[in-house]
Amino acid sequence: MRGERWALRAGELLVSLASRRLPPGIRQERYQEWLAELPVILRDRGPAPVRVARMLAFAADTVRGAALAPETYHGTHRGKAAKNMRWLGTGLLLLGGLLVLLPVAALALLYPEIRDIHQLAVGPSLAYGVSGVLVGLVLLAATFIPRWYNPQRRWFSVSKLVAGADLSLRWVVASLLNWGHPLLFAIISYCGYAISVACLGTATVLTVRSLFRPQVR
Amino acid sequence: MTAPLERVFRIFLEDPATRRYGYDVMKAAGLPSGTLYPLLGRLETQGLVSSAWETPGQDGERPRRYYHLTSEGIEVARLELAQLSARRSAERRRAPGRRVRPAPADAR
Repeated sequence: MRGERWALRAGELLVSLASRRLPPGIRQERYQEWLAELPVILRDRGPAPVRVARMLAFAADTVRGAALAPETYHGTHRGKAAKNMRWLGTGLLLLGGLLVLLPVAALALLYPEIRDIHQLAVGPSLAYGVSGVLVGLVLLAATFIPRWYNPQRRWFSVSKLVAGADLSLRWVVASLLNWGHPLLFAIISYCGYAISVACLGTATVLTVRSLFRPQVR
Repeated sequence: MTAPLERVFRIFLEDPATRRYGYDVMKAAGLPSGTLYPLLGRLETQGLVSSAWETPGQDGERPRRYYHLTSEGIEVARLELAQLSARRSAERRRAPGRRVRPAPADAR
């Protein structure tokens, strides 16, 4: 029967999983032993669904037995030291992953600010300034939709809007109108950026506060 | 002696000459595979049970592993079960009202 064949395959898979947990010396022997039992259980007395369930229960329980007490199968065992080493390896791997992930996440969060500072230092480009304004406007408009409103988001969008407007203004004064003293550019740039940073700081403080505020349901 | 071990000893002692495969013992003792096979493995390590691979009569069937008690295993099993019955009778005498649940093999 087709269903029984699939069930047998599932049983074989479970048995192979169980035997993989056993010490290498007895693994193959146990696998062959359990594999030979599966068709016998499947041909035993009773209705087909009961026989299939019995066979699958047999196979699943070998996994439980092998997982709980692999050392009891033949007096051999992997030992505590090997188990500790495995945990140590997993811990080191997770720690390594975290050490890589944290700087990447920090860089992704700070990237817009790094770009703004870079633009201030090398002289702004109009495309960057205008796109900053547009992004800021879109974000600000979104906060007026009731379900997306929260104060942190609004302050963040204002920060981006101010930074974009500041860079655009500096470009207009320097390139288009072609006048002004370098000191004026510096004042425009750094005052604008200071306002932007203040808005961003407010957004950050509000976010941190909301994280520690107890949730009322 | 644990209850699963008692059941396994009783099954094998019913007819010590008979070789039994794992599923057969499982059915008779009412034990799940995850309990029975580690138990058999332990008994084999202690030299109380011996196993051998035998090919069944029908064609196309895989060789199966049959278990039986060794002579030492028979002695130990009988001794352990006797001690257990003695302990139970003593308990029954001490507390006559309390019912001691017999192992499934006892009930038969």
